[in-house]
This record gives sequence, C-alpha cells and structure tokens, in this order.
Amino acid sequence: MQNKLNWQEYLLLGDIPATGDRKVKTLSLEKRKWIAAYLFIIPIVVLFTIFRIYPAFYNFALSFMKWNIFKNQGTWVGLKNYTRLLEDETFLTAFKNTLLYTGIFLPIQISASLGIALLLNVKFPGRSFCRAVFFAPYIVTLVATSAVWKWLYDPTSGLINAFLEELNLPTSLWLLGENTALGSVIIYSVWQSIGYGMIIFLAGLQGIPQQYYEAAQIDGASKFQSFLHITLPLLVPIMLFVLVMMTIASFGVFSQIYVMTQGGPAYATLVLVLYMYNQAFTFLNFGYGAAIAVAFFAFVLAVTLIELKFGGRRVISY
Amino acid sequence: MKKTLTIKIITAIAFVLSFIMLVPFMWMVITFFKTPPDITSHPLSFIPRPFTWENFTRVFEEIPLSLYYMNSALVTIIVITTTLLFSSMAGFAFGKYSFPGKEIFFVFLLSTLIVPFQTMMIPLYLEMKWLNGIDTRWALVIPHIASAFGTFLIRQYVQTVPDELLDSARIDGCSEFRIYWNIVMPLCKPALIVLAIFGFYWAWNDFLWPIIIINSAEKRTVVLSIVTSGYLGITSDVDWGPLMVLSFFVMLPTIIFFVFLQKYIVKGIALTGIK
Repeated sequence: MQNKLNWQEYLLLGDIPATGDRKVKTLSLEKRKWIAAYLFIIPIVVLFTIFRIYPAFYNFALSFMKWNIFKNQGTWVGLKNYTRLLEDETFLTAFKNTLLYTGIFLPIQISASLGIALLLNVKFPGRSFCRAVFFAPYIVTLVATSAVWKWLYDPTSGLINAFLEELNLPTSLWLLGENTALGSVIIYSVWQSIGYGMIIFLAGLQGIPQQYYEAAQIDGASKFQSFLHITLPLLVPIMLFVLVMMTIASFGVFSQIYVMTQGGPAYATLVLVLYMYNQAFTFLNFGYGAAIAVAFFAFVLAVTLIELKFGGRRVISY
Repeated sequence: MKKTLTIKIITAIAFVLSFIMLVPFMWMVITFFKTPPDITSHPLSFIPRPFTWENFTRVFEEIPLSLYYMNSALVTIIVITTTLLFSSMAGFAFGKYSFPGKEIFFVFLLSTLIVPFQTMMIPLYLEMKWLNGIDTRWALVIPHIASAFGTFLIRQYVQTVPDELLDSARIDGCSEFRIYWNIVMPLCKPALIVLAIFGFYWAWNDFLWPIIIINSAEKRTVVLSIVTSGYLGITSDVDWGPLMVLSFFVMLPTIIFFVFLQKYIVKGIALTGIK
C-alpha cells in the first residue's frame, strides 16, 4: 500500500510515499495542513482568476475602448461608448423592453408559483405527479421548449389561435404582433419557470411549524386569517429570495427571445442581452457591447440591492 | 364531509392545471406524426391523419444528431468531472482547514456568483481568441469548469463530518489527500450527486456561450442544432414537423434525467435555491 503512490499524492506530498516521508514529518502538523489546504484551493482559485475575475474586470476596461478586430487590440476612447449609449435609441428601446419584461414577469411569476405551491401543499392523491408536471418545464432544455411554444403561438395554424377560434374568441398575432410579442414571451417564461418558484415555496411552507396553525385555530382564526397572518409573513424571506433570483434571471433573458422572435417584430422584443450580443458578435463592436454589459450589470445590481433593502425590512421572525 | 369535498375540488383544479402545463409537450408529440398539409389544416386535427414517420426520417437524414449528441455528451462529461473535482477539493479545504487568508479566498470565490455571465461574455470571447479557443470544443467547457456555488455546497456538507474522524485518520498516517479522497468524499455523496446533476443541466442546456464560440457545423452541440437547422424559419416558412422532432431529441436527456433523478433535483433546488 505504501508504495502505491498515485499522482494526487505525488502532487501533494512530493516524490516519496506518504507515510514514510521525512520531509513532511519535519513540518509541523499545522504547516502540513496549510500546505494541503492551499493545494486543494489552488485549482479553483487559478481557474476563477483567469475565467471569471479577469474577464469581469476586463469588461469594465473594454467599455472604454474601441476594439480593432484586425489588430486584435483596443484603443482608449474615454467615455465615448457611454455617451453613445445615451443617444442610441435602439439601446433605450432594449432597456425599456427589458424593464417592461421584468416588471410584468416578476409579479405574475411570483404570485403564480406561490399559488401553485399552496395548492400542491394540500395532501391529495396524485400530488407528487402534479408537482413533477409543474416542475418539468423548468428542467427541460429551454431552447427546445421555446421552439415548441413558437409553434403553439403560430397565428395561422398554431394551437392557441385554433383553440380561441373554437371558442369564438378573438385571435391574436402573438409573437408576430408588435403589441403582443413581449407579452407572449412573458407567458412562455412564466410557464417555464413556475416550477422553480413552486419548489422553493414548498420548501418554505414545510418549514412553518404546524403548532402556529393549531394555536391560531384554537384562537378561532379562519383559514384565510391564518394564511394572511402566519403563512404570508413567514414566507417573506423566501419570496425575497425568489424575487432576487428571478430579477437576475429576467434581466438576463436571452435564449427564448433569440429562438422565438430574434428581437422582432420591429424591436418589440429586443432586450438588453440580445442587443449586447448583436453589437458584439454581429457588428463586432466589442467595446460598445462591453459598455452595454456594464450598464446591464449596474442596473441588475442596483435593483437587487433595492429589493434586499426594502424586502429585508419586512422579514419577521416569530 | 365538507373536508373531503374541498380535497376533491383541489384535486380537480390541480389536475386541470397540470393538464394545461402539459399541453405544449402533447402538441409537440402529436405534431411528430403529421404531414405538412395536416400540420397547417383548418380546423386542427388532434389525431394525425395520415399517420407519418416522415418528420423523423427527415431529421435523421438532415441533422447529424449522433455527432451533436457526442459533442454535447463530451462537454457535459468534462464539465461534471472538473466541477466535481475542483469544487469538492476547495469545498473540503474551506470546510475542514483553517489557513491564513481563508476568509479572503472564500469571499473571492463567492463574489463571482453575483456577476452574471452576460457581463463577462465579451472579454471571455476575446480571451478565447488569445488562447486559440474560438470554435473549439474545449472552450465550451470554460464557463462551467468549476463552480463557486458547488464549492459552497460541498463546504456546507463537509462541515457535518466530525473532525475526530479526520484526526484519527491522521494518527493512522493517512495523507491529507487520502483523507479527502477516501474518507470525506464518500460521506459527501448526496451533495456530490446534487452537484453532478446541476453540472449536467448547466452544460447540456447552455446556449448563449456555444452560440458565441462555435462556428463549424461539426462542433455544434445538440442545443445549437435547433437554431442552425433551418427548420426555425425567420417568420413564416417554419418546418414545424421536423422542428418538433428535433426539439424532442434535444430535450430527451433532460427528461430522462428528470424522471430518474427527480428526488435529488428537487431536494437540491429546495436546499440551495440555485437553478
């Protein structure tokens, strides 16, 4: 056993079998532990420095540059990219659309997933099946379900319009209509992510001690009153968590829009990340794309901090 | 009496809503077997008539699915391996050792969680250019090569392992690596499984990074095939039949994983809140 030196041990302890190593033995146990700990964290620290930290900072620098794709280097242009942002009407449209998307998506998503969680917290036969069904769209490849929904939304032969016709209700252009496209994407996104909120809320609901409800019942509180005064306040931290996670996700919306509308019709669904993508990888304006990324990050961070600040005040512990 | 009635109503509502949630998947399956005129017919038919396998044969002929599957599988396997290895090593160190600079390194890792990938994708692309990574399969692994979230998850889990166990192993002459590999990791299996499942979904479902990095047809992942297939027309000329078949094959592994590992997935998300 002692001679079986595998590469991991070699890496950690040098070219000698672990137990008979003189060099290691002269080190104090504490020092030996330090060295081991550093060796354990080195890979991830190095990888993260190269592929996360450096690009994140470089993005900031890049936003003050104009990138020359032939020389593959940038030249400083000061605040030019940022002044351009403020004058760029397409950027402002993308910004507005992203805000609109997030502003409509978040309240619907959170109330719908809370509602479903409350419904599926009741014990009934087939409950776990229903939970799995609501959760499934979240786990299935988003790009593929976006393609399926594009088909459902098709104005001429899609299922949704056919269903509406059957009921003699007005049909819609859905993804192809300037006024309905963004809403259609939002409906899809709610369908897609409802299971995520549901799972978190269900975990939260299970964490509320049953005694609170029993005590409320003894005091003569109705089911609705218990919900309003026990369930809801105790779920606030979890709602805040879902809100923050969903805010970050919905500001970064990209794939479903890329598949379903490509930002159209007439910029109606152009969002920040899609515009960033187009600027950088279609028009090769890397510097300008980086400036959009900075604006995007600053905004996500600001909104998240505001949510945490105002939401944090409402956290109650019993 | 009253209670059973409410339960019945709740059951009914839950099943109706579940049915609605499933409609897109059902419609996808029905479309598999329809001919083009049947797909666009008015009014809609719910049973394909005539029944056809043509959409399948078209996808198999026009899309090199097995190649794309191989590419995606390769990326996914590497991502799972590296994420598990690097995150568990670091998670173990942060959970069980005290060393100078520990707090700083830990905060350094966790701080990367608040920066969305979108804000660093452009520099990362330029970095790949310097490293000759554009249009290569290995570059696909880069965004998921290690996980700060995974490190955190493993750290939390490792802390539940008693220190006495580690110390007695040390007295027996066990190297630190052996303690990590042979003693602590087997005890962390549940957390490792959760992280492996997350790694699978991160790698398999990734779209934004592959679409930036990959140009050549033979290096595409399965997910990319949807937008590069040509079935997804710009506005009107969409090939719905083959598109639905292709979408099905793209999502199939995620569905299989979900069916078999649902318990772990749900537990993992409920515990960590990460997607």
